[in-house]
Amino acid sequence: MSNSFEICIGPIHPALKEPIQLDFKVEGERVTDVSFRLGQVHRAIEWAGMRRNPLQILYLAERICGICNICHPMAFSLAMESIAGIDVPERAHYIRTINAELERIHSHVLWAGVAAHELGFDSVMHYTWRVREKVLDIIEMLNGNRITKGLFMIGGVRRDVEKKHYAKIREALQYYRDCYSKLESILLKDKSVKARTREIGILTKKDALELCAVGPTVRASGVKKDVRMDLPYAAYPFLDMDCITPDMATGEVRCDTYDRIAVRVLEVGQSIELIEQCLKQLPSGPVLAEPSLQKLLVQLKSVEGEAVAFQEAPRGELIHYLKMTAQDSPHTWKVRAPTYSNLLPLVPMLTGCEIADIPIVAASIDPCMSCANRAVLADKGNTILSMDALRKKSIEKTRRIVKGAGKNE
Amino acid sequence: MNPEEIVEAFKKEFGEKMEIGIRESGKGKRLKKTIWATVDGKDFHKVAEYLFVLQPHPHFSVSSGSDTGREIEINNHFVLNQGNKLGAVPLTIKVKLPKRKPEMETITDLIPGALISEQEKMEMLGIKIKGVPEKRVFTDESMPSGVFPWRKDSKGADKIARNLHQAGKALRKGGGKK
Repeated sequence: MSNSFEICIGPIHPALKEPIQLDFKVEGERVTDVSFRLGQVHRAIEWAGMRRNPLQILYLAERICGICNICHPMAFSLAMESIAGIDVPERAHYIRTINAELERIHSHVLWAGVAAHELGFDSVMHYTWRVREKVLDIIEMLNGNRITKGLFMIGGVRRDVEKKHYAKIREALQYYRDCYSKLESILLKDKSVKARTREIGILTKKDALELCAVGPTVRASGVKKDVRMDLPYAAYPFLDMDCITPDMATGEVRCDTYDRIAVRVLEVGQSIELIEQCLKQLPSGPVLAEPSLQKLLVQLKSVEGEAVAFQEAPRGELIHYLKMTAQDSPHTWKVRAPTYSNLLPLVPMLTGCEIADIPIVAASIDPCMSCANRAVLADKGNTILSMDALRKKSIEKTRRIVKGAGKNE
Repeated sequence: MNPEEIVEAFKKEFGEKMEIGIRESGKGKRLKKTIWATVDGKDFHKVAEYLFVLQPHPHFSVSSGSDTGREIEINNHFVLNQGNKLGAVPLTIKVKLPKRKPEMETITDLIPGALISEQEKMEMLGIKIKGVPEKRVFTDESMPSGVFPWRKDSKGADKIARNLHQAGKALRKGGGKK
């Protein structure tokens, strides 16, 4: 009798926080092949955008992702500003950068909680999500809202960072510096986290390059790709920064799930320093190139041309392609979010893993996905393997490892 | 290689088969020089192959696509020189495909990571990419076959969007299943 099964995870699954269907072939506990399918929540945002004016699109772009609602409107703004030849005031560049880095801290800390949850460390999830509250407070203070911020405008930003905000932002940065060593210790030094993530979900440097991976996923394989360095925008050309790879934390690159955790932990520290630099360098002046929205809209509706804007979102390279033909709406608007490029790399990462490793390896690319509860194991008897059962497998593996480590000691 | 050298290298290699130039945006340290090139569909594979002469691993970001009326424009967005501070060069290679026969070759033999983008273009624009299997990755099965959301002609999704109440009926009739 064949020991080969097919497992379908998704399209709705808490370990995949946005609908995607992953089809696995497994032999025993070992994954031998993976394929995926998207489209279950195709919301036609680009289609809707091509029937709206550029200022309305800013608010649509903000709603592409619940976390990346700075980087999407930023990428759209960069493309539109490039076509229209609009010079963004210097102060607005810095405010954009501060908000983008706050978003990165928010995203990476949120992700750390998800990763801990997948491993069965819910106390760590609660700790990281409590820590995340601080950055959300600052985002709310600056923008009046925790998630959708309505900050962007073509040619600048709609809200200034006022002097009274500086102290609160610095206080939050200090808070993250204070808890950084604890985060680092939990996520990078804990023996059981290491046991569950070292040599698991390997994406070799060759595969990462050939499959065009982006963001922390590609950097964890030792490839120095970061749009903030390669094609800098906003205030990044004037900031002192380096491209983060896992050897900066561990002295080596092993291209595994642990390395992807290491890169994100280091990037939280990097974002703290970048915001501090921005606060020090923040120039005075206006934050909008054209304060009159009517004038701006007339200008935008008359431009012709095309542009590609690159942006480093928390999950990696984000692209907006825009083509304007002197009409009310764009002729073409194409958005490519980083998860799109990190899906094919999931195939080599997951091939060879155990079923119990699927949640943490899938989570290690930080897929942009939403929560619900469904997983089906289809075999001859139509056995149902629920999400709870799958997660239980993951937790059991952690416990086995922890117990085994205890015996060895 | 800087953008000017890359453009010269392409001109030398492909001559009149390629229209190529640099478009600038931004100033000072934010100055971005983007290379835009246009080639015939039959030459695109050779151009993609030549990118490997310029550097070992050109980064393929994505393909975008436009329905321009008689043609379908596929914009293949690459980035060269990544990992060099301020030194990366975005390069877009535009391929114009006639609507009567919108076909081109796959580049997945050179860049396996292009597969997902090529599948998307097939589903969204109704083009054929030789060597890429026809299967649904991006559109749900409730989308009727022969409808391509990015098309602006009769094959586009406008009719469906105006008659969403009929979308369920299309699914019951078999929808996009082939």
